[in-house]
Amino acid sequence: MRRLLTVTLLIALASNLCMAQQPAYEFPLSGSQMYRLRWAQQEGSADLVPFPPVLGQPVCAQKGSTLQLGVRWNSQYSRLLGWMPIRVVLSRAGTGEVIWEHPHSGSNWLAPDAVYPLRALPDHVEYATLWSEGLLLVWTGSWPLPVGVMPYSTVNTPSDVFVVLDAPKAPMSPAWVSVLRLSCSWASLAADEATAARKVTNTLHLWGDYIEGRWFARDYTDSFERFYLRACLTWFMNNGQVGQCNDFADLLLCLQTSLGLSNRAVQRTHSLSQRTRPIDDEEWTLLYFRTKPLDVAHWGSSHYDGVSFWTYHQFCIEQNSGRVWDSCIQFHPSHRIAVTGMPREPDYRDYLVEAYIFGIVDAVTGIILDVREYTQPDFFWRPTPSGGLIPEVTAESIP
Amino acid sequence: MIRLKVLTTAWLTALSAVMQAAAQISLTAEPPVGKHEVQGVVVENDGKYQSTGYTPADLLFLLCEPDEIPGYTVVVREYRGHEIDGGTFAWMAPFGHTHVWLNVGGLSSSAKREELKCQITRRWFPLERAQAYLARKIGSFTELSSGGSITVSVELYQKRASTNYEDFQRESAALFYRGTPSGIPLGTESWYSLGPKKSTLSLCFVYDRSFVRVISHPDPALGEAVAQSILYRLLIHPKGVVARAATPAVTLNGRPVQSAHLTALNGTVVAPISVLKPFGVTVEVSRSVHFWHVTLQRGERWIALEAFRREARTPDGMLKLERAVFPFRGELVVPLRQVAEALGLTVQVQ
Repeated sequence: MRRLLTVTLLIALASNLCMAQQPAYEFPLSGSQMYRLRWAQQEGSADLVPFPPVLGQPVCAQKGSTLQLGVRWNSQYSRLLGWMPIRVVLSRAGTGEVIWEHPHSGSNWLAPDAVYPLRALPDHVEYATLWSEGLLLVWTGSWPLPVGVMPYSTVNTPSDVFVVLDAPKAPMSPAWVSVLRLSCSWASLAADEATAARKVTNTLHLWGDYIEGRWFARDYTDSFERFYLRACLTWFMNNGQVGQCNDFADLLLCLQTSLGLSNRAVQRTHSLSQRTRPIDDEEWTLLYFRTKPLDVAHWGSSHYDGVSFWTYHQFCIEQNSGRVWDSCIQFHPSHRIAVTGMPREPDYRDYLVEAYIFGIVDAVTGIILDVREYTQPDFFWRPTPSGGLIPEVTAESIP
Repeated sequence: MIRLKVLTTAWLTALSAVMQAAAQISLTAEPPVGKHEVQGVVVENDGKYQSTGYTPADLLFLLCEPDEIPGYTVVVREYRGHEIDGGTFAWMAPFGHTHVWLNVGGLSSSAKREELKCQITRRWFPLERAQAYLARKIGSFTELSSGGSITVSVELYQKRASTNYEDFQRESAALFYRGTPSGIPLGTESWYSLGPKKSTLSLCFVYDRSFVRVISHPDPALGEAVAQSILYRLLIHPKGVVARAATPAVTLNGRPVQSAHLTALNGTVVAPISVLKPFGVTVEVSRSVHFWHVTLQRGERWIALEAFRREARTPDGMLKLERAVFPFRGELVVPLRQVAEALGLTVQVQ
């Protein structure tokens, strides 16, 4: 009889909790090195993930930092007397491998306002999930058992935990959840900037397809472009295709900056608006340049491997050093030289450019009157803009 | 206790309603706003505030069926774990072989109907490689794609598509050329690139309210034929998704040809071969997953055609066709004048 009453009490309590507008109880996460996130479904403040988050919502935090778990009781029908997180588990996303697990904390109830310190997050980049289960001690005031014990579990609604190197930087400030899922998976176990940058660069080259005729970066000027990142990610997830060089560079920039890498930007081989130079007292216009043999993404044999004719090329740089990261291409298909922190001059330039093709263009008709080829890689090497640019990243649909 | 019963009943009723709504999602009606997967087709509807009224079926009409390109088929991407395929994640699901976006731009309360866009994409893979992928002999989706594919994308606007060659080339790092590789006109304006090995066609064309892209490797001619088939489907679409070209008046041996599926592709009249049957033409079809041959015969004369090819065999030798032959609803669409004349019919087109 006593057992039946207890069960009835708990069912009644649970039904009251279910009727509430907001969850009856939540488990806020706190920590000194947590960073804001956005869902990346739309533009505007509605896109922001609540901060600080609660268990079940995505979390982004610095490697090696610690989180604390708390509890928030929202029900007006009852009162929380104490709580006991019996298990808190951090697992590697995808494989489910347990990174750490808090054992039973003993038989003492924690006070409702007490926080439960968790173990330190991994000291490297990681994409993990966090969940907890335990008990809640609840005062209902109902006769004949005014106090009930209620189990809880968030195992079916875990938090995505993104462990990054440092605070995400622009254009990933706040970072996108959909980008972090890629960057933290691909850079998993990287403990420093160089390794993380190399990992995401090579992995994007490995799994992303270059295509001609479809791109998600738009509205270019020499100092601006708008990157429709959500559209790019959707296309990539559906087809495995990323786009052209702009998209690879912009996506790589987002992957790197989401992990906290600093001073990153994208840059083009030359200005798109200033493409002329005087040769033999005449004004010649750069028509395009011929590349050396390239391994174009994806890695290995792909449709676009070989010598290309490109009107420009865009890549990712570290602004202070001018070093280049490029997941769109690798050099010399037989050797596969990855562009991961390569000096822009002379290495990257000389690996990339075979010849510049200039023409004299009739200003009225647009007809090309004469063509010349110059095989010095530095003949028209004018990285633009000089300090690189950070594209405007948007979740809006391409108009 | 009574309250608990009431609550339980209400909850079950609500759950039942949700499940019924999910079960009722079909390709022939506009689905609720959000993402759905129906028979391998992933549909995303953004039409929260505005809608074009198009259904997934309206867009599916524009593409060949999954099994209509001989030697090719569609594949639903699979999640196989990070070790096997690090480019495919479980959270990317649902996967599909075809993706339809309805009412793009309609999630904003200030959206205007005339600014909405709908889009469909589908990707075919060589049959043997698709089978190897499904049998896990090919591990990753990226590895599957390296063996060739045909990717098609059709964007439908509510007003004339503003894309043109100059604007497109201005933003393209790759060099595109006007026209088509074959020189056959396509839509209002078309342009293409062929990739470093001349084996990867990226072909775009604009026609009225549509913008179409076809990427084909390693068979550029096949890609161009697929593009022509899309223009055909745009022109005969029952909902008039683009402005229809004036239907040509065609007579064979003095008798008019009647068909809702007869139209002109940039001046070349094409029609399904069934329009020839009333003129004493017999049709023999030989079709497998690898080929689709049709032989038309009228008396002593005959012509042998193959899906997505521009050459036909006749008793007089090979005949170069004005358009490639392509399938539509289980039969082949052919350039009518050439085929009818090869069968000894007198053709008049006005």
